[in-house]
Amino acid sequence: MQLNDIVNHCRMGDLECFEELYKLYYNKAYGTAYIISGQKNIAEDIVQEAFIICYRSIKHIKNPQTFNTWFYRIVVRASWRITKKQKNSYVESFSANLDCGDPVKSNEYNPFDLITGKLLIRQKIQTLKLPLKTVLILYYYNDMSVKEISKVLDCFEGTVKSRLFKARKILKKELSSYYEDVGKSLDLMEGEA
Amino acid sequence: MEELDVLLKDILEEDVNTSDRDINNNFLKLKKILVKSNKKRDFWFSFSCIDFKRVVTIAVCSILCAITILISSSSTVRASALNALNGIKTIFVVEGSGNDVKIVQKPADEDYFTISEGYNTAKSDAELGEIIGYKVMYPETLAGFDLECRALHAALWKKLSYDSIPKIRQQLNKAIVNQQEFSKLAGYSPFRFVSGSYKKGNKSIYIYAFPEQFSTPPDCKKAEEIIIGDIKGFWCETIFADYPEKAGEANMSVKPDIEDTSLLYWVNNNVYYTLTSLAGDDFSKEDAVRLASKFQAAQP
Repeated sequence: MQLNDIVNHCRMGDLECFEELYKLYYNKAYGTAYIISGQKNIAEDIVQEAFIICYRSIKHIKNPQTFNTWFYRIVVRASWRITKKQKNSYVESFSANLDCGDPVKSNEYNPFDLITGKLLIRQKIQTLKLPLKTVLILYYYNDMSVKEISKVLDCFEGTVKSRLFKARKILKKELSSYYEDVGKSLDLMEGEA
Repeated sequence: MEELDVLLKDILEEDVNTSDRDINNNFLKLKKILVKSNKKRDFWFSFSCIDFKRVVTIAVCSILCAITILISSSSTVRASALNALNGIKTIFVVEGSGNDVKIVQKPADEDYFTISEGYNTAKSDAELGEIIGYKVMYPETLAGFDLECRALHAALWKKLSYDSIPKIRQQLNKAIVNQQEFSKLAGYSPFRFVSGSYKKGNKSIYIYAFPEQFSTPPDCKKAEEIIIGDIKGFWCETIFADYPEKAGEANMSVKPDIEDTSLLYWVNNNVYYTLTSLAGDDFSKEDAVRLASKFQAAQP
């Protein structure tokens, strides 16, 4: 069954179709909520709340093709609301990944640098303001276009672009200064040897 | 795609591990909530044909229509409505003392004000003395300031409401010189006082002389004791409410601006004197004391 059909059935109150919709969207919704909130249990609550709102309001959707942006709007709003209450975003995510050595995907980097570089980026993402962080998540994690993000966040495409630019600039700066520092310290070590 | 883009995508995807999520079980939990809430909603939904919003809107509109019809057709209801509207008329006044003053709203029918009326007069100090019952001398010159005019005032010690002022103001105006009119206001504790205005260039000063029993020292933000000749006086920094004017009168239904001002006051021979300048004038304490000393020296 196509997404449009599933949505149409859900609009009629079909719970079986809603289960199908739930299974289709659960992982990405959970991921989005988890990265925004930073805590598994909170992400679980966010997803549950988002699906409850979705089930109750889906009958108001006029065009089933807009379901994707409509649903993520619910997820993002629920995430923001609950995360602002918790004010503890991303802590668990950061600590949970401290020991996760990731397979190296590029030969240009020292594996150690890459791993610690990622941790650094994770740390920096944690400190980003919610609007910047959300745009980053929707763009990189949910593979949404700028236009789609603007619909999810109910703002201009220019705003999305500017937020994306700002977020990338902050992270790029962090990463460049990290690699510069690593380079310097390696030079020193070589000199001492 | 830039390296940073790849890195960000990797980081975000790595962070989310949904393998430990039991989607089926989670949906069962959600389903229970949805079914439970559906039952609750069904109960209320059974009333939805009534359309409460519409019922309430119609009811409110009907009440408003009924009131409108009543007001337009019945003089009694119209009068009551007018009374009710008058009842909620408010004015802005300054309350508090010293540094702790604030603008508050008061009902316009609350007794709150003492009023005075006055006009410039060509009468001499001696003639004025006979009218007010005590002697005050306004010298023709005062430390370089020239006497512009003397004024005679009548005031009511009893407090009045803002609403009642216009009516009594006319009576008070007549009572300034007319003893009969003055007597008619006996219930309001009337009294008279005089003032003199002096001018030097653009600067003007005013010296008021009140009977001591009808005087209240001002609420000062800062009061400094000074000596005028051999008399103790006070240099007072205070505020006044500057209301916009409407038909030549202060419109107190509008929030006033608070302006700073200073004045000098002292008491001698049961007469309470105040010396002040126009607000905003460059008028120092030293100038005020100098002028007050000269004025005091001229008194009988």
